[in-house]
Amino acid sequence: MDVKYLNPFMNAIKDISAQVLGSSPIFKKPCFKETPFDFDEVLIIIGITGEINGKAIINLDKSSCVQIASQMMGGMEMQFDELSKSATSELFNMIMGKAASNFEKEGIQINITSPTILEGSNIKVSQKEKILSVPVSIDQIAMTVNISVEIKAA
Amino acid sequence: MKKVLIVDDAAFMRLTIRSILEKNGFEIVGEAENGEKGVQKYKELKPDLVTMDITMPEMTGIEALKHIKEYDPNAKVVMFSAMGQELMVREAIINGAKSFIVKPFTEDHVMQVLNKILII
Repeated sequence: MDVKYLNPFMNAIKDISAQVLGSSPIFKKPCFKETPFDFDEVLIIIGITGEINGKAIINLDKSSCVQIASQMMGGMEMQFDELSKSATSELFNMIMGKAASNFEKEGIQINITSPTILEGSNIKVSQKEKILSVPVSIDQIAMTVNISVEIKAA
Repeated sequence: MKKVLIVDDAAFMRLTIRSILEKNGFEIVGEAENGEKGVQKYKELKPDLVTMDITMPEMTGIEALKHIKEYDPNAKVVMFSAMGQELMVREAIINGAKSFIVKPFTEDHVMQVLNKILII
């Protein structure tokens, strides 16, 4: 995976975090992750199709999920439930939608799938493609954004 | 009171759109979590307006829009999507969407767009 494909995603996280959560994200250094690897708590998976193929796997804990939902509901007190999971997956749906617009500006058309949410502990993820992993924090919210994309063979 | 059908696969988004519209005097007559159910509910409920997501399981919002416009060429459908690429917007408008609102949106923008469409 070429690192240059990371920027449209990072810029989308910046823009949507500012608009929806009212805060700027802090990115830590990206690194390649070997598979299989383990995840805990909540995973959101969004497929990427079109001129590049791949997926985004976002890992965060339940309290970050609740925090996101609460901010999206105007500061309402929330619990970890179907509604807070739906709000969190909608945030990443918006981020991926914005990333698709950023790719379009660079002449690359992509589409995304509906988010899939998994929860549990010690979830093992195995895939052939290399994953570029970026830890992101937005105020009290901590997450890891894992991206794998490949140019589709003509 | 104008009757609205909300089609979106995210419960959170259906709740958000419902609360904006109810606050502004619209009546939500139904909700659907995918395009296929959206088309069925359109036929049953005959709303004045449909808010339609695009990326949904079973049937996408663009497919549902085509079916609704085939059934009722005067249907007023507004797309609400995170996918704001030019190509996507063009495809929706070509297939008969009255407007396209990119998520995230503000209440003011939503009301401005919907009121304009309902006056026409």
